[in-house]
Amino acid sequence: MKAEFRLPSLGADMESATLTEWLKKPGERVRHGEALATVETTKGLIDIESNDDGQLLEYLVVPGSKVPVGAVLARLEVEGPSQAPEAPPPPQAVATRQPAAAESPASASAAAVTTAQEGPEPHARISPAARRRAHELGISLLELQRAAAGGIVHIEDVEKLAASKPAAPADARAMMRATIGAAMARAKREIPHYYLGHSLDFGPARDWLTRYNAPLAVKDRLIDAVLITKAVALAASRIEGFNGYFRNGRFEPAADVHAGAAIAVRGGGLVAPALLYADRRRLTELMQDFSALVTRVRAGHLRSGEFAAATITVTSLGADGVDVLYPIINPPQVAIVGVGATRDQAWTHEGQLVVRPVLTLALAADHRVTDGRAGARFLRAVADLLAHPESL
Amino acid sequence: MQNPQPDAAVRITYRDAVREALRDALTGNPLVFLMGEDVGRYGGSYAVSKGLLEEFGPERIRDTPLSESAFVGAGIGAALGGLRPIVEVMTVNFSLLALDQIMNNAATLSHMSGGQLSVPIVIRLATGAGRQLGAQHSHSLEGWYAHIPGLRIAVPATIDDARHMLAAALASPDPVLLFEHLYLYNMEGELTPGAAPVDLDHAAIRRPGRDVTLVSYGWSLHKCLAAAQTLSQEGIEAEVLDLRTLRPLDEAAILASVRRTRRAVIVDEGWRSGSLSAEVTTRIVEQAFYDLDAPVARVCTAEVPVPYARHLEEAALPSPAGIAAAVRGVVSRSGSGI
Amino acid sequence: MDPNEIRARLLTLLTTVAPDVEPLSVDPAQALSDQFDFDSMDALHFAAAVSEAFGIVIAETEYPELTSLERAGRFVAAKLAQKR
Repeated sequence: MKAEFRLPSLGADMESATLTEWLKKPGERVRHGEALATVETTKGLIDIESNDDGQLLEYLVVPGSKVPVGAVLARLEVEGPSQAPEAPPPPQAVATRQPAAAESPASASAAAVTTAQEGPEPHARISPAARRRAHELGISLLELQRAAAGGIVHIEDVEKLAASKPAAPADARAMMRATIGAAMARAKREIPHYYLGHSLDFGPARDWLTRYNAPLAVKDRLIDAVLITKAVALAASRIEGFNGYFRNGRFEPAADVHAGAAIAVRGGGLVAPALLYADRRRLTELMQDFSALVTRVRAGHLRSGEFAAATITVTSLGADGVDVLYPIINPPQVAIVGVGATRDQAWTHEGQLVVRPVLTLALAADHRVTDGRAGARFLRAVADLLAHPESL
Repeated sequence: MQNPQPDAAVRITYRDAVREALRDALTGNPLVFLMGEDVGRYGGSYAVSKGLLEEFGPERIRDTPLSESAFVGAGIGAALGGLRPIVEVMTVNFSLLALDQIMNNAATLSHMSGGQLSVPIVIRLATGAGRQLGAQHSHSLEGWYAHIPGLRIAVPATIDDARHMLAAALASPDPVLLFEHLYLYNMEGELTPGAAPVDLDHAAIRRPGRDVTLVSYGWSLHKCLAAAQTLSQEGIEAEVLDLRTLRPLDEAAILASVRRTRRAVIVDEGWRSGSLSAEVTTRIVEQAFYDLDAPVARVCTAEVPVPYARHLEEAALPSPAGIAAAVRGVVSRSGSGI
Repeated sequence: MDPNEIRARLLTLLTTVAPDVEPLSVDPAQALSDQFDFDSMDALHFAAAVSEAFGIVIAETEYPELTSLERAGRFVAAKLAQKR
């Protein structure tokens, strides 16, 4: 049967992307999970994957086009019923109800000339949402008025105007900053965060890692972050209220744990793609996933499946970090764990003062979903798991 | 009606669902009783309480004289005395005769006594127009009652809500008015097996969509769903939000949906001036102004006493076609609304 | 292998592990973490590449020897000398 290959939503804040390259040709066979195209988003280049097994029939979008989330990019002939979601609704709706061709460039540009001569109208009709989006994208009201040619400016017009402007590399960085800014502003505006910190003796985990890693080639060794991510994912699968999304005014628990790993992008910014099924992967598998994920971030080739999937996030500043990292929830998720640096500290153990590698975990969680008591249980569960690394 | 397999879905009417809810309440709590005009021997004007008199006896299924003020007042007294009365006022039109009891006693006593008294009465009322009953028998006054602090206003619009809202209403320490649209009684649908108990605080999204939010409740909800179906064929995906409770309003759910779709159309069988639709609109504009991509629109009953003549009555009430037209107006390029 | 050759190979390895690093911009004396936001996974990737390319064993405790290009050069030279 025929199926449509659409631009998926790669995050709550994504509204559109620019198609940069087709990775398959019409007539070629495609498999489920195989990358079909590369798109550029505010988070960088991302390979988007097929949801179906079958054959690529035709392209509907040429490279260089900016398209909204949910737009049909190509048609496929698939084996069996399509697995692709019918029309994935973008988290922030961009109107996909009419094709871009509905705009009349000729009349718009003609009117633009006259408006330019007359100067800006004193009472341009710009929708509140369009006004705010323009502000986020750095588009001036004057530009909007000219583009609107006397009509009403909707958010869609702002998106189109932004898409028509060539994005310089510096702009890409600014866009990523704007994206992070928008997501974090939303988090701070909408999510009643509560914060809990818990220090733990990382000695058992470190000792176990040292023993485990000693005989192995460097490429096969595990790093601290993998243990911690696994522990967080397991705790999230066991303790209700931390794994999932807060949407439509209520908590929707996720069936699987996809642990977002916050990864810094060089030159500023960060992305948080997901380690899929993190609670059920073995440590060696998780390490391979994590390693591959960082490699893809560095190469600027993330996969679409990894983007929107994270159900909870772990963030760390690593060895150079600080004692405590107070994280901000990545909406629509409901929890994030900040991992501080491991440092040798005075610690009491069975009544004795000893020096141990101490690590502080900080949980930020959504008060609309859980309370501090549940949060404390969650952090203790992570700590208990890390105290028995062999069980991970 | 007995359900032999608790996990199997059952097809029942809204009327049966309300009766099952009543039977459950009467069986589960000896303090619960039902009273109202013709609820006993006649089985209720909409046949909701048919058979209950035989099952529970005249002590608990009480026919009352034709005096709304008297029997609503008696219900309030019973509630003050520790019972859990369910009072059926045949239709909202006649509730005006009991308005003094509802507004000046039921709604206020808890507050005026500093919480020493509570009035846990449940009043069930049929509401709405569309049956050629004439102006004075076709009112939709639930939005009006939602104006009054001290009351809770709930509107079951689905089979599941008809079946489960009564229990939540009886659990409330405050007076609750349950509005049942007369068009819904014959609606048939599947009762979700093992459905979670409902509360009287949350709206529900009955159909997700990305382009516009249709905010509605009661019978109008079903008109919205029909309109959404039509619009979907035109590429417009409407989200349909069922308010479920008019007081308190689930503001968070309304705002969350509108922030996503950036457009809202409020559909209400009540009149437009000084109304529930005005209240919902205002809250959206107050709190989600910068998320809006078009003016909020409303589809309400025409500002006339509801006409008797079939074609005039149809023209006065919200219709799926009128709702679809309003939606097209807010998503159109001209943005002129309706 | 002379120090310049080692340094050149280290630079190649570094840009393989981190393709987004501009080779001409690398300051050999400065820590990679400060210059390029190297995280623990980047450090591991670099250590694995160095270990494999030069055929040397690197213990976990020796990772700090690879924090800058200059330090890594000295470390690799010493390791190679040991091997011989």
